[in-house]
Formats: sequence, C-alpha cells, structure tokens
Amino acid sequence: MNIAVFIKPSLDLSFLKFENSRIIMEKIPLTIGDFDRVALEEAIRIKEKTGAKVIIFSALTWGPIEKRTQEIEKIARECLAMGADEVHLIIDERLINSSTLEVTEALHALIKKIGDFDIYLASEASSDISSYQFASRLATLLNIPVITFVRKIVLENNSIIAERDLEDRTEIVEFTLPCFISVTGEMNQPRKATVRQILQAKTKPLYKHRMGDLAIIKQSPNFDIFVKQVERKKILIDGDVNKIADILVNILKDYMS
Amino acid sequence: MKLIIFSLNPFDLEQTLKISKIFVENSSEIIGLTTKESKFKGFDKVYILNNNLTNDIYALLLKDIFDKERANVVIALHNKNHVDILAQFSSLKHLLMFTKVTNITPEKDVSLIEREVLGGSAVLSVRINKASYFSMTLENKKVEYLVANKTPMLFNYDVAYKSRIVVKEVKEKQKSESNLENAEIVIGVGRGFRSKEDLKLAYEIAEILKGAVASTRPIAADFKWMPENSWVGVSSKSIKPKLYIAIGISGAPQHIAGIKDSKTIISINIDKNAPIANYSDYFVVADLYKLLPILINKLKSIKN
Repeated sequence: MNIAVFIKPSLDLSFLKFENSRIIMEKIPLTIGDFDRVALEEAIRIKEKTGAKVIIFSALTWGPIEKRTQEIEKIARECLAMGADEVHLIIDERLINSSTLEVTEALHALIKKIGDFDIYLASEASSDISSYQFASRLATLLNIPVITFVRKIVLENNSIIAERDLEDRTEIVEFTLPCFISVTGEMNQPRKATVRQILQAKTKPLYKHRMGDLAIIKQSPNFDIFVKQVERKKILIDGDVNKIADILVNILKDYMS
Repeated sequence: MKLIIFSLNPFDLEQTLKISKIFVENSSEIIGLTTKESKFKGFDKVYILNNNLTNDIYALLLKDIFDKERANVVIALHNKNHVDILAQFSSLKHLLMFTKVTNITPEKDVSLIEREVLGGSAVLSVRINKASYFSMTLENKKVEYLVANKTPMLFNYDVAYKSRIVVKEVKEKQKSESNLENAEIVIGVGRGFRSKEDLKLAYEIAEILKGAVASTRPIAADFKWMPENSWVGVSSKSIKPKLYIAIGISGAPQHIAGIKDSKTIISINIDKNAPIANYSDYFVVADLYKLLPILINKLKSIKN
C-alpha cells in the first residue's frame, strides 16, 4: 500500500510579528501545521499496521525562495524523522504567493509522475491561509472520492469507514480505495521523533522538483495581508488591590443585571 | 453577470442572497440552487436538487447548471459541506475560490474581497475584476436588505450520477453545554492559575456576572483542567462577547485572535509587561490570588 501525505509549509503562528499594522511575513518562520502533523501521524499508524509506504508531498508558497528552501528542507526532515519514507518538494518561483488552485494543479502533475497511491491524506485546512479547499480540489483533479473533516477512520481490506465531523452532526461514511481524506485535529495525538529517528532521517530520500515545463498559469490575484486593528482604551489600573477591586466593581456593575 | 446562489438548506437561500447584495445588484439574472421547494423571493429561477446526495454529486450538478446557465459566480454560506462542494466544483471548472469571506467592498471596476487568515489575527484582501469567474463561501451576518419582490420559476433537476461514497449513519450532535459563543460575558482563564482547584475563583465571578468561562490552549489541551470546548483561540473557537475578562492570560497571538472581536476587554495580570496590555481596555496589574477573593466579596455585597 502507498500513502501520500500533503504537508503545507505554513507560517508559524507562534512567531507572528507585527510592525504597525503590517505583518512582516519574511520574519515569520515556516513550520508544519498542527493538523498536517495529525494527517502524517495517521499515515504512520497505517504504515505500522500494514507496512505501507508513506510519501510526503509539499510545495513552497512563501518567499523569499532561498531562505525558505532551507526551512522547507528542515520540515521535510522532520516528517522523515516522524516516520515518512520519502519526500517530494516543489520549489518554484511560480508558486510563491499562489493559491490552492495553482498548488493543487502543480502537485497533481507531480503525483502523476511519481506514481499511484491508495490513500491521500491532508489536514482540513492549512493553519496560515486556511482555504479549506486543498483536499477537495486535488481529489477532484485525481478523480478519486474525497471525504473532508474526518476525525476517525477504520481501514478494512480495500475500504474505509470514516467519521465526518460537521457543525451539527457526524456522519459515518464508507468508500473504497483509492481515496482522499482531510483530517481534523481530534483524530490523534502526533508523535515526537526520537533522536535516533532524527539521525536516521538524514539518509532518507528527499527530492526537490521544479515545475519544469508544467504549464501552470497563475490565476490568483495578488493579495495583501494586514492586521485587523481594534482600538482599545488601554487604561492601566494598578496599586493597592482593595482600590483596584473598587474600580473593577464600578466597571462591572454596569454588566450586572 | 449571472449569479448562482447555492444552499443545501432551502431556508438559508434567501439569507445567502441578502449577504451577497453587492453581486446581486450587479447581476442580470439570479439563480438559486437548493434541495427542497419552499417560498423563495428575489430569484429568477430556483433549481431543486435531491436532498440526500453526497458532496461529489452536488458538485457535479452545480457544474451542470453553471454550464447550462452560463453563469459567472457561485456563492454559498460558509459551512463544512458548502466549502467542500464549492471547492470540488471550482476544481472541475478550474475556477478561483475564496473561502469564508467576511467583507466585500465594491470599487470602480473591481470588488475588494476580504477574509481572515493567520488564525484570525490578520485580514487577507484581494481585488478581483467584476467580470471574472469565481466562487466563494461567505461568512453569515445580519444585513438589512430588501429582497426584490419576485417569485422564481422552480425547476426540478436530477441526473443519476453515481457516488463512490455511501453515507451509513448520521448522528445529530448535542448542543454544546458551555454555550461560549452566545455568552454576553466571558471570563477567560490562563496559566496564571496554579491549579485546577483555583479556577473556582473564575467560576465564582462568572456566576455573579452570569457569564461563561473560557480557557487558553494550555489550560484545555495541555493541563486538561477544562474541557476542549472551552478553548478559545487560533486552532479552536472565536468569541465576541460584550465583556471579556482575561485572568492570568499573558496574551499570546493565538489566544488574542479568538477574543479580538470582544466589545470590551478587561485583563488581570501580575506581569505589567504582559502583551495582553495592548489588547485591553482595562489592564489590571495585580496578583489574581490577592485580587479575586476581594473582588468576589465586593461584587457579592453589591449584588445583595
């Protein structure tokens, strides 16, 4: 069995940096999104049960390309340390600042060259841009069934029973392989790689691809990202706790019915 | 321009039309797609699809009607099924799609489209040509908009596409007990609390103010002192109460993203340099263990 896992090199939300109302994108490091780790963990658990091969696909969408290339390689090694067998990266200027439309088309072309997979796994959404489109779009290009927002799967021979987590209900659905699954954060608790695994990861195969003659036409308009500012009064209250309590009571009494 | 409004739930179709106002005014024809007959206002035509299909089939039917009608734009309310259906449809049609759009502003020849990114801490904006083809899911909100008083023609549309997915069982969810999203007053607790037992201080204040208690990620996910559905922040839920009181919360951007739309924010922190100061209307520098017991007593006494 072959499993493809898609990892988005995502801006690390724990290192958000603001200068006035601008976010300084170049200063935010890239990381593996929390839910992407969950997708990879699920693949590794299937590998442990069935001996499946786990192949990572990832495309760089944040520039500048030189600096980011090192970061995406580090992410790739982390995936290999967790238990993936092989990584394929697309690093190409034409995908920088592109959207899910272009990224899924580029990955689709790459997958066709690498081979067929039985299960494709991705997170429900990236943690930085959160378009929620990735799995649905790529599965459609691959012409395979897609099941989104899955929080539990049971694999039986050639079919999967999955639990979809929707706003007001859960659905139990069944389908046969090959299939594409997008996972929610509740599915599992991703493992941490051991030191030995981290060392072993250095010798596992990692391939970097350019898009070559791939005719991906960038349709996405240029975007702008800015901080949404809510003006706050920023009134400082300090000193004696009794006095502070009086001031707070005075503010809070307006909220007491 | 021809506009398609898509909604699995027929009762949301008109609301979706209302929040799509700017595109509605720009359209020569408005076509609805939903799964059950009802009284619809403001549409020229409404196609009724079967109501027990899977998302892959809805995407195909949407594509059929989009092609047949030579439509330009598809809009749906944002939810988990709609975003899946529109993304599959957009991939079939090689169309751009915008997810969970919060704001649309008309400009001269373009529309400015805004959506939240980076876990709600920032806004992404793009300008798209008014004549372009795309789809989007919109975040729901209250709008004042008088829908044109026209009654649409209804058409049943059914093509026997076969899905590769079988839905075996559907379980309705119980309503969330905490009800954080609807609470007018929310008390947030963070790592300033030293133990689970100490959280009762926050619960006492919540009881007096008739508020709900929320938590940061470490309290819910790491220490498990509170259920996961109390966790407010980037990877969890956002709240917009009238009053948010952050106690022992330093103000990591991940948590701020979930509370930034609160009307008023009071924070209580022992560290005068805590980042939450910048996001507060009232920033109280105090030891919560000294302040809260006094505050609770004083609040109780004025309440009586």
